[in-house]
Amino acid sequence: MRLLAGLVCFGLAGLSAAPLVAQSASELAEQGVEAYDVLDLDVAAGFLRRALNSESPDTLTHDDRIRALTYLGATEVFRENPDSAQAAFRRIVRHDPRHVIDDVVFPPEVTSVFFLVRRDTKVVAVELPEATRIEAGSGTYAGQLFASSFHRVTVNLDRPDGTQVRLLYQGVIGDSLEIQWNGLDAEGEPVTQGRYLLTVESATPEGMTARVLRVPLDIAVEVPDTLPHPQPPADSLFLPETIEGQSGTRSLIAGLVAGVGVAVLPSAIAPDASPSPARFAVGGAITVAGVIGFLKGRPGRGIPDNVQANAALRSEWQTRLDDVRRQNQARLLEVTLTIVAGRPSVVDAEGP
Amino acid sequence: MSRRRTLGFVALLLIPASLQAQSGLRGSISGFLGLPTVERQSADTASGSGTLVGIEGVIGLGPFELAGRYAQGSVSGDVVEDQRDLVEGEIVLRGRPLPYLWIGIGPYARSYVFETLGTERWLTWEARLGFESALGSDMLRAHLDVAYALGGSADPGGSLQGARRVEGGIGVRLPRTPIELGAAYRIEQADIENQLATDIMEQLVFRVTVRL
Repeated sequence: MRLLAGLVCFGLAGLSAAPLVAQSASELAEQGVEAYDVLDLDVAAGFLRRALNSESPDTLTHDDRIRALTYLGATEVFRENPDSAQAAFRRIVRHDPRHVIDDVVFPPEVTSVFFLVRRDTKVVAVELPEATRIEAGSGTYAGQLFASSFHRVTVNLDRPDGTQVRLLYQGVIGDSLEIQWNGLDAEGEPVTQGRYLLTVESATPEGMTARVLRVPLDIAVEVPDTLPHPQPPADSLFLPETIEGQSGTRSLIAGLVAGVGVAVLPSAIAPDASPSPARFAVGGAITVAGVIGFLKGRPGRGIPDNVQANAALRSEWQTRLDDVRRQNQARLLEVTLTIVAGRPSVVDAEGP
Repeated sequence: MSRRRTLGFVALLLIPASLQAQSGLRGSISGFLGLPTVERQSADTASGSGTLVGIEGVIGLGPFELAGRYAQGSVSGDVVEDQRDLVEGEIVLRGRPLPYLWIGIGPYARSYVFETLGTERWLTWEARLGFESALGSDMLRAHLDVAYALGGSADPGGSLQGARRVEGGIGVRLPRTPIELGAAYRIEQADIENQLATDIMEQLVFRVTVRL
């Protein structure tokens, strides 16, 4: 009989022990809040710490975590553990810089401690659109920073290796601040495709880095097609700029042939006539012109008309080339960026 | 005038012309003043001189050109019988085997209107050979043109025994204009078969040409 009773007791103990092990973080947090409400502060602190440190799959949601921390902080205030209370409240502020505790639920001794902690904790949260398309230069990628309290921040767009692409903001932040980026780097050129980091560095009043928040931005770049450069004029289109070959000789021969022909042929064509001396005047003029053409047509002598025509041809091509270059530069500025923001990561100077 | 000779010359005109590639429509038009001296040698010799005003034009496409000329004026002689009006015209179909050389064929007509003797008409079919070239630059040009009659007739008078003409001249283009001023010397001789007469006309010609 004793053995049977022992087995039953052991079995019941086993059954009752199972739910204790399986208690979820939210249930623990709820029990902590209930213990706080009945001023069982030690029990409340125990449940709340277990809930916050729980490694069960059922972890606390963001709101439940904030609620648990708030009650833990309040519990520690009443347990006269100010450091623990401030640590709990500091965790709240780091999770949500804009959080405010309900002064209807919590008495002023709790809210005043919270606001002091919030004032002294210099952190920001950032809200960015998940995916945005902007035209580099003319478009705007906008995000919102929310601060726990007034402090100085520096907002940079960096490459993953830490090199700065562009400083977006440097100055103070009160409650919130809108940051804008037009898709260009510090040189005014559209950024290239790849991963970048939006880095927000919060500074203490002493100028030390309090916290660095990094948000990865994956940027895809769409570049419009550019126009092909016009081909330079073909060599065959250029006129010779200097006299080449036998131009002068041809001129001399032509002058002699025509001049002598005019002087001599009349006697052969009209053997019965007595040609007048006018033929010698005309023939002589032609011959002299041929000799002048020979002298002016020496190889290497410049041809101003051709030089001018070639310069106009080159100038016209250069004008078209410059025009295409201008159009291409304008097109290259019409770069479209698709920006996808990732999950922020935080580096706290003071630790968690 | 032999038909075979004419056909042969036309072939000579067309074949080399087709070898010379020249593209585009081109042309020129000229006005001229001629100062002719006319001499008729027959049983006795008569001569006279006068003025002649005319127009010439050339239009070309590819290796072929069509040229025309019309002139009229008057010639005064030593005696009243030699007073006459002079009208002449010609059409030439040309081919250019080389840029500076053309050959052509076409009719040439001349009419003398005498005050006392009536009208005398000449018609010849001529083979033509022309040479023209720039002298150093396009500002100066020289030309030499020889005509040889393949056949023809004179009314009254009968057929021609032979006719030949030569013209040579020079042209100067005014800077930055298509206008060319020119002077040329021209002489021709025609022998009339049954009259045993020889007609000689010598001209000094001054031209203003606009190249299109």
